[in-house]
Order: sequence, then C-alpha cells, then structure tokens
Amino acid sequence: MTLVSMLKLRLQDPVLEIVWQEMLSGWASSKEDERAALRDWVRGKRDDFLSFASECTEEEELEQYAALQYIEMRAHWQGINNRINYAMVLTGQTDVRLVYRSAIMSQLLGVLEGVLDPGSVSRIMNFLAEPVTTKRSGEALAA
Amino acid sequence: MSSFDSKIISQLPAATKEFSNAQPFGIVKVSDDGTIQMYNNWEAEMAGVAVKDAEGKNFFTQVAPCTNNRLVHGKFKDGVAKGELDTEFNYTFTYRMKPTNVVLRLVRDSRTKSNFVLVAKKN
Repeated sequence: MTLVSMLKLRLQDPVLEIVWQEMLSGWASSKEDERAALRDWVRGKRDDFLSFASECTEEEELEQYAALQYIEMRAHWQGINNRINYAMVLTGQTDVRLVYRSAIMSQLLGVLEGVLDPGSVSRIMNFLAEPVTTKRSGEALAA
Repeated sequence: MSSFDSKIISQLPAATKEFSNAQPFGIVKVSDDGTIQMYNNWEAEMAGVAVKDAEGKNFFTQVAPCTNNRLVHGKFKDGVAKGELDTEFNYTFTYRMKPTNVVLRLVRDSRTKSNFVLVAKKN
C-alpha cells in the first residue's frame, strides 16, 4: 500500500469522526456552536493534509510533509498539554476548551503515528521532549 | 486529604500483581529510568492501553506522553536523583483518550528503591 492510500484510508476512516464526536459530547459546559467550531478546526487540519496528499506526486516528499505536519501538530499539542496542566497543578482548574482541543488533536496525532515510520516518530518525540539544553554553552552566552 | 490510602501505599513495594489489580486506583511501578515494570488493570482500563502493551515501555515518553514534562517527569527524575519522592497533585489526561481529571501521586520507596505512579480519578 502506498503512503498516499494509507493516509487517505486512515484519515478518512469514519471512526475518526465518531471518536471526535464522542469526545466533544463529553464537553457538558459547551454550546453546540463551540463544539462545532472545534470540530471544524480539527477537520480543517485533516483536510489540509488530505489536500496535499492528493496533489503530491512524490512519495518521499509526502513522507517528509507528513513528518513536518506531525512535528508541527505534536509541538502544538505539547504546548497545550503543558498550559492545561500548569493551570491544573497551580489552581486545580483549567481551560476546558483547551482540554478538548488537546484531546481531539491527539487523535489526529495517533493516526499520523500509525502511518509514519516508528523510528522517525520516536526520534521526533525525543527531540520535542527536550528541544533545548538546560545549560547554555559558553559560546552562545558570549554571542 | 490524599486520594490514596497510606496503608496501601506502604504495602506497594512488596505488592503482587493480584494485590495491585485489587486496588481502586491506577498503580504503575516504574524503574528509575521510567520503564514500566507493572501496570495494573485499573490503569489499563482508564488509559485504554493493554497491560501487555504498556509493560516494558517507558511510562513518560511512550505510554503517557502527556506526563513528559517538568511537572511530572521532571519531578520524578528529581526525586529519583535525591532518593526521595512523595508528591501528589491534580492533572488532566487528554492523550488519545476522553479528557480525564485525575490526582497523580509519585512515590519512591527508598528502602527497596522502587518507584510508583499512582492515578485516581478526581471527583
């Protein structure tokens, strides 16, 4: 199976929409338009991906694009996850909209993790877990 | 007031799998580098991760990546380095699961040098 067909198969799987729907239905304090906005946002992410997958004729280029999209989304998700949990640890409360954004986005990340090479996913996760060194080098400080 | 029974916590270093599975909260035994040595059934059901898929993997980076930050993994590493760890705090899990508010407790038994991540649902 080619990467394009695998991506289309996984991203267009109706189960993904069902999972998003089920997750958002748990957002009891929201209005329908808030849930719809979040659903549209995550669908947009998926559809952008599918759009490029349809246009790109080079398998290698598409794999690179998939990895870059994964890095972008994963970094975004990590930032949201930290925002949610710093608030939770400090105050015991957090922004529920961000919680649901994080949850539905993580499902999309899961789909990409199933398509990308596991070794690449592992390398990306390791890098994103520690993108900066804790001690600046003497050169960086001098500059 | 803690979400975890201190009497049960004191028994964790010698706990069998059966004992761990009988508790009403998640129990994850991890090595100093975070590798999962024991993952109880409560945790497996809550996280949607089968026990066989969790044990042997790194808890912070592979099984619960939403804990791979200074708040959780950092506290864990600091505690292991100091040989002392017992901290409890609120947290929200969202990674590939229905958002769930939990209370996390990180514990190290200095005598046996064993570490535990305990997870209870927050009411």
